[in-house]
Amino acid sequence: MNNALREIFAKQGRMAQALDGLSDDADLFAAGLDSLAIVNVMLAVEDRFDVEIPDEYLNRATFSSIAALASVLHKLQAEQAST
Amino acid sequence: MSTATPLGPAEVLPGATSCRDDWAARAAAIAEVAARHAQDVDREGRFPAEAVQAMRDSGLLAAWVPQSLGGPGLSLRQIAAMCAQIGGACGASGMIFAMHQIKLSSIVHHAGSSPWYQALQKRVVAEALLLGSVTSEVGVGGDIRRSLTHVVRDGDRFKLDKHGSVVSYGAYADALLITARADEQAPPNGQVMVTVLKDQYQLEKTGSWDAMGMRGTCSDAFMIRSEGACEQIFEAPFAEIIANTMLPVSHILWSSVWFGIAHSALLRARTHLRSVMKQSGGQLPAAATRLPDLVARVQVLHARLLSAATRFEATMAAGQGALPMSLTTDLTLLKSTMSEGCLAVVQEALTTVGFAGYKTEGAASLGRHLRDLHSAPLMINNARLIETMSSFLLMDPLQFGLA
Repeated sequence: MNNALREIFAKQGRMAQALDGLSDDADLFAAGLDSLAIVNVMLAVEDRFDVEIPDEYLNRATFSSIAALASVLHKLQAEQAST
Repeated sequence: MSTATPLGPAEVLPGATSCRDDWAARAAAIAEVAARHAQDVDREGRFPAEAVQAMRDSGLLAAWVPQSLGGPGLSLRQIAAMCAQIGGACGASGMIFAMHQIKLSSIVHHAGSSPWYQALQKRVVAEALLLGSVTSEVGVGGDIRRSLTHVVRDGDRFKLDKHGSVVSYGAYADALLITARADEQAPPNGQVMVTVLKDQYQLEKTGSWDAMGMRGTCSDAFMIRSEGACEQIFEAPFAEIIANTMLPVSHILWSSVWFGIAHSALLRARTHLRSVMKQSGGQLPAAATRLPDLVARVQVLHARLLSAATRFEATMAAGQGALPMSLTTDLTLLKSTMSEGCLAVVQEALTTVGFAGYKTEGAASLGRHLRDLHSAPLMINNARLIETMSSFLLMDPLQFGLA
């Protein structure tokens, strides 16, 4: 999943800095993630993983790193699987 | 160039802590001083020194500082009410008060645990320091999320030079909060914020404000050369400060100042209509029929501002860290709605009052209100906000609960 998210951020995030040298935990906003591009990242993620990210996760923290977004997606997938 | 008086000894102002209880009366006293000098401040484009001295004497410059540090620890809505009251008396004085409080909120909420910033907060209480802001920069225009200049660290010291394009009351502040890239390698939005004290910077004035309105804010352009200790650099990245505190508080307190100006225009229109009615022997003036619409507009703006401030205050009290995006979007929309709505109210008040409002002098004069409020759509230009809002509203739940 992390590699897929990395691709999405690289494509949609309008990053000021290349993602290649960054760890999954790196702060993407500090690396120049454009906050306006979050909506593009969100739409791409929802499309790729067939989930809907609920409002309580729509904040900067969710999109602040690959690991943070992956952890939210794991949680959502687990919730969907149990319903 | 700088006409601010040097700081006196750190004596505790008599009002600093007790103003928690009678803040409203103290704000009214500031507004009274601001109103008395508003016309001269506007005409001369001079710093509202009398009103700012009244702010210092009141203890209210420390409004945000928590009681644990000796401050009054007033709430956002109480501070918003003061901004509206002072702004209604003199737009420039209200905006200076608001901008100072916005800076202070960043310190209280993002540097509270740092010993240097705790000491600074105590000094704001004891010495009524006035905090200024250098977020704009020559070369990036109004996009405060990007910086060209960067902090230069050398051991535990730093140097920072910045060419600020619009530095409100820069020459009169006791300390400046400056944004810059964290280091030479940082991207344009990899910013930090730094506080420097008056004896740590030199100002070279490079451009004059002399603007259409908000003339007393004296928002000149300055080349700023500063140095200090690295503990003066906020540990939290600027992106976090602006998202969680500075942007929401700015939009709410600016809106409060604008609302105060619009409300003042409404009161002037009503006073004028009353006097016309008296002169005409009790005949309802034709223009009075505009009053219901005018009041209704003010009511809508008031409700909008109050609901946004209440929602943000509740979120802050819950203390969950990152602000939900829907709230950020809501507060951005608040800024654009209030800036245009308050301006429209004054325009409508002018139509209601007629030439008595068009004249520069007199109790019904509305020129200063109108000119001051023309700055509102430009402070973080609404045109720039449209893209942000359009994008974020696509992610918004768009819920409007009533119960």
